[in-house]
Amino acid sequence: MASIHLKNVGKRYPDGNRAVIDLNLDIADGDFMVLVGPSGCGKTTALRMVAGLEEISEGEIHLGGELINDVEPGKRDIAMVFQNYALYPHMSVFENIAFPLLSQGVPRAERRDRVERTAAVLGISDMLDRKPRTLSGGQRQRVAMGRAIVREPQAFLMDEPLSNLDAKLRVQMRSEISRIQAELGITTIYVTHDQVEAMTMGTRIAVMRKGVLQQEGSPEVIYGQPANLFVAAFIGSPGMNFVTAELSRRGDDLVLGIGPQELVLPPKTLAQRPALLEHESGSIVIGIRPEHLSLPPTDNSAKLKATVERSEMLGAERLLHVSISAKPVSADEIMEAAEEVSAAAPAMLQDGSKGDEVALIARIDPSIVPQPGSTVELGVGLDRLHFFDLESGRAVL
Amino acid sequence: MVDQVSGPRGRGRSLNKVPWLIALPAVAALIGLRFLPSIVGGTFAFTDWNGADANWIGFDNFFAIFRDPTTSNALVHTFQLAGLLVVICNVLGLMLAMSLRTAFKTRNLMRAMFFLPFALSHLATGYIWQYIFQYSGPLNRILGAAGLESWQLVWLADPNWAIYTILVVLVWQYTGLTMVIYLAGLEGIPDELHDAVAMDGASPWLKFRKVTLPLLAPAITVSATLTLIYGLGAFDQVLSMTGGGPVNATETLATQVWQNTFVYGRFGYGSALALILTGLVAILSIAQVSLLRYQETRL
Ligand SMILES: Nc1ncnc2c1ncn2[C@@H]1O[C@H](COP(=O)(O)OP(=O)(O)OP(=O)(O)O)[C@@H](O)[C@H]1O
Ligand SMILES: [Mg+2]
Repeated sequence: MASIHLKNVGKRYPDGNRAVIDLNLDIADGDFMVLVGPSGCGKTTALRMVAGLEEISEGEIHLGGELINDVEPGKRDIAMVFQNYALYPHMSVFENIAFPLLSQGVPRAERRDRVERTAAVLGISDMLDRKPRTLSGGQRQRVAMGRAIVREPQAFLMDEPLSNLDAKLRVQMRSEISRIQAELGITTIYVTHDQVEAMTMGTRIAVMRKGVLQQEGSPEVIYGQPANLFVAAFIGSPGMNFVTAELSRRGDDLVLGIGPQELVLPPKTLAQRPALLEHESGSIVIGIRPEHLSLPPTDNSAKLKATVERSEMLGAERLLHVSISAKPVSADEIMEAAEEVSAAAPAMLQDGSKGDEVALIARIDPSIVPQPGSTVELGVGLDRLHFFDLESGRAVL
Repeated sequence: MVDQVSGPRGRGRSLNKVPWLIALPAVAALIGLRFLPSIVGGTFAFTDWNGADANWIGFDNFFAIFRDPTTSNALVHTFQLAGLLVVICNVLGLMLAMSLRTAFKTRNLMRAMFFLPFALSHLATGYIWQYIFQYSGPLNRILGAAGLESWQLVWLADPNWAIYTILVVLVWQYTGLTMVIYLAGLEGIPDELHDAVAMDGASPWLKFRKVTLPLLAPAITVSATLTLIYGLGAFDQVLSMTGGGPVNATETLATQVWQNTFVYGRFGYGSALALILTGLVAILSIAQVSLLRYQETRL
């Protein structure tokens, strides 16, 4: 059990590609740190540097206070679970799990003992004689976990270990991995590009984009106080709504002009976010999570008129797609984050938000069934609004 | 046309017939030109045909072969060459493949160089080697210049050494082939497995024994079988370097087939030898493949 510290870590591939840039991460002993970000943002590279499988171009990595830059992977006392499991195809399940012990020269009797105990924890005791190719995806996943657990290492590294499983099994393994990690209390770095996995599994989340760390914090902080447009757009499903607003001052109040409509911000908001003053009489991006748009509006919330486009019934809730006339936000960050949801999402975003139309999604009670084409008044939780600088994309706090 | 409209099942059946029809001429040619002559030729093994008349003599040729010291020694030499060739070529080829897999600048050039001997004419290179190994040839001159006069041998004229000299050339010729097979086998091991081994902290020796070697099992089967077949059939190199001499010390089954058939005109006797050679190649390679395949499944 140990903490992991990355200090100004960078990776430059031989072809000049900078996959990780100046990464600083402090992972406390026992933490479950999820590295999340879109494809190609450098998650795997960062993880492989911690593992020792990739040379560290810049910076330092410490494990339990010790510099491990030049320590061989096998000597770092770190176990890794690979995306494709990387089980030894010619070995039985038993031999697969026992291999790290064999490598460390653990005596035969103790090997058998530890493998059997590990198999019991993972519920694969009855498969020890089988070859990996005769196992299902979920079973292979468990064997891969077993090979990591059996060593009782200082840290676990996992690179998208669930991406090859079907949706149902993924949910099941998700909680199983969390459970095992919590039980063993082993410091873990877990890589995924699935923000739901990140939110549900991580005790800490680090969001990366293009090799650069965007924000690091607890799931609550990442979701509730995103540091920039990218994090805001990337985390959450359906994603945060964005719209461009004109900020102006009227007496003591700040007024947000959204298209022809206005939202008056209470003095409290300004007190909480003094930096808003710097954007006075200028454009600003506001972000609203779908659950902070209500229908019908609560008594004291601000209201926004919108046209209903369609709605999706999800059982416990309804996703209401509406449009308002306002200036859309077409920042790269949002497009890139939307791409993760589906390849078609950016196009849909742009279609839904043409010129002076902005598409919004509200999470509402499923018993309310608004007719497409009708106009509704949505309640806006003013104290839950997020503000971002139009130029830098940074949160205005 | 009828098949095409008769639904998926009809179409499936017609699709199955087409490949056979396409393959038919080739199969017919193979049987007619390759297997038929061999079978007909094989029957000569039971006659005393010498170019003029042929009489049925049963197994007499085979008894004669095992009684004749020249041919029975040839059988021993064939086993010697083939056995040593399989072991040495595969060990060397695997070592070369493993060292040429790691990245360095001249890697591809080296691969080409090691494979070249196999691609060259075996007969032509045999004559070059014959020149190199002559008593006054380049090899002995180099040894002399290096002050190693005591190492100078009459390489190809010494009945004890000649067969090993030939073995060296065979190894030189076929190691490149095994190297290429092992390189392909090594490429087939996924990177993730190498990473897994690295994380598990296995020593190079443990990795070789428990991971690399088992995963190379199919390549070993192919490579060992090919070298066995080449070793059993060794002919070009022997003919060009020693012609079977000195005093029959390097005769192999293949050179004996050639000598009896085409030099002495003993077609029946030669056919019997050829039949033995064919049988040996078939039995040994099938036995080897089944043994190695069995090992593969156990690994
Ligand atoms: N061996 C390499 N040589 C050069 N560039 C590389 C190499 N490996 C990765 N890259 C590049 O480095 C960047 C980061 O890659 P990395 O595999 O770390 O991304 P990732 O975040 O894990 O993505 P994914 O979610 O698709 O797995 C990418 O732009 C990739 O093209
Ligand atoms: Mg990756």
